[in-house]
Amino acid sequence: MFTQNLDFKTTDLDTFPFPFRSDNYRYSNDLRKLEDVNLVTITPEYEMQVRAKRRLLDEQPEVRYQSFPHTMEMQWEFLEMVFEMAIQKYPQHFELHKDGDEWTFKNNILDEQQTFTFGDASTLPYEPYDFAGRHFHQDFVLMVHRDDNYYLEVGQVSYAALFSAHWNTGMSFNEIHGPVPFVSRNGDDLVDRIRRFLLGINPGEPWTRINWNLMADRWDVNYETMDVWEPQRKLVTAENAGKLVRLRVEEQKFYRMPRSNAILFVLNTQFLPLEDLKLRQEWFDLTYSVLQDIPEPMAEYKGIAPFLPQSVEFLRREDEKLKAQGGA
Amino acid sequence: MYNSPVLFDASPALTTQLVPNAYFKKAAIITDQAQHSAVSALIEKLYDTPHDVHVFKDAEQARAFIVAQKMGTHFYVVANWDEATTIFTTAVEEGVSEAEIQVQLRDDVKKYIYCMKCFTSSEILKEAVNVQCACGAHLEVGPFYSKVRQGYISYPFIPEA
Ligand code: HEM
Repeated sequence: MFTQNLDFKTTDLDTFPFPFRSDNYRYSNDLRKLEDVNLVTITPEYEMQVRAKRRLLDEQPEVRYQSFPHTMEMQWEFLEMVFEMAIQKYPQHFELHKDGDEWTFKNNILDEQQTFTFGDASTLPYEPYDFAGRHFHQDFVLMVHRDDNYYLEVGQVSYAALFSAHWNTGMSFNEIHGPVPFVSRNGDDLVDRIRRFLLGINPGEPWTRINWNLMADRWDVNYETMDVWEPQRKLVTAENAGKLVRLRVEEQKFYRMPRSNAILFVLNTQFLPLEDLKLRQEWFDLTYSVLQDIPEPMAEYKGIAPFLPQSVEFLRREDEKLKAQGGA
Repeated sequence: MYNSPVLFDASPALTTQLVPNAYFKKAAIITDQAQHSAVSALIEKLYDTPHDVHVFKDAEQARAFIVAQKMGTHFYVVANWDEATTIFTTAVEEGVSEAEIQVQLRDDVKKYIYCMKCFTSSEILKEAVNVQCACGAHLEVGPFYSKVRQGYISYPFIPEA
């Protein structure tokens, strides 16, 4: 069985998408133009993350992967896009040989090779989207454009922060965000504003944002396992928070798919234990400041209310130590 | 289609009083009890708007009646929950939008939850806050409904000893 205990963290800090830009955090339309449009990244944790993701997909296929039968063409579009990106950026790690519709994809990191007929799903061990997604460590969600909204029609989600591919399947952008206390600094409802923004995204010009949460000694939290992780959160103390609590970030990317017009939502999830924040003083200071000022509804929604005070207390003690060292 | 409207306890189509819609040329009334006072009250309020009444027997006959209606028809349903659900679903399948249907129930609405442990939906009492699923999981009933899963999300929890 997959162990939920966290056994990995980002080791190359230069690849960690640190989320905070100012010393307090409120919801906003924080989308920015994405500079490197290629979504494939190989980090030191790539292999470990991909293997963990595949284990979850195999153990809980109903929870982790959902698709509607009519999405096959869009699934092939996704496969083609990510494979092309992979060989373009990392020709030493990935290869794609095409002989008409007979394609061979090679993943040299995992030492895997698959030949299949493009457009014929029966030639792959999984649906095309599921198969392609299993070669990269991100989560992938396809939101199909219908009547001025987006609907979740394919989802491969192995790093959930209250995200269940099973539950959210078929829902609109607005329905999915129903649970989020999604108001801006001045009280505006953000869901519709962001939905409209997404309608204007063009092919070839993806956007990005960073979402964050704190996770208490777990890989992910979803509604299916709430009975397990809710009580676990109470085990966090100011003494163990440095190790158990991790700043969990999702670097999110939004691509308009040129053929289907759908939005591909890509999530790169990374973790940094609170104790590692000290490796970058600026990150430590910003996080300490932000966590002291989380509005109650946001803390409740994010599921961090039961261990936020302990986490802040851990940072306060560390801050004192750092200041004492600095002053010594 | 998976994102088509469905009849659930908070559907906008549900009403406690049918009201004639001024923008429609004709009224199509489907009921499982033609003598019901809601039907006669509606017909009275329709004045000279033409109307047809179909007495519900099964989905296929209801479908034939729905399909035979012309553009510009507004649908009114007076029925028990189970029959109303069948009529509503059939109408939606035939391309009728939720804005074109009003439903007045003869009995109570039914409320369904979706268990996030065993992924099945089941009927619950409308006012229930916590329930136990047939799979054994204790569930807190949430406020979000899924048309695909046909139930309100219900979150598993371990009851305090
Ligand atoms: C288009 C694809 C998107 C999908 C599929 C998606 C999905 C989700 C899901 C499943 C959740 C958790 C909901 C729950 O609690 O049940 C969520 C939360 C949230 N989403 Fe999105 N989202 C998308 C785009 C966006 C965009 C473009 C923004 C902002 C610009 C955004 C902002 C947020 C925020 C702020 C939260 C709350 C997260 C937290 O505080 O931890 N989302 N989203």
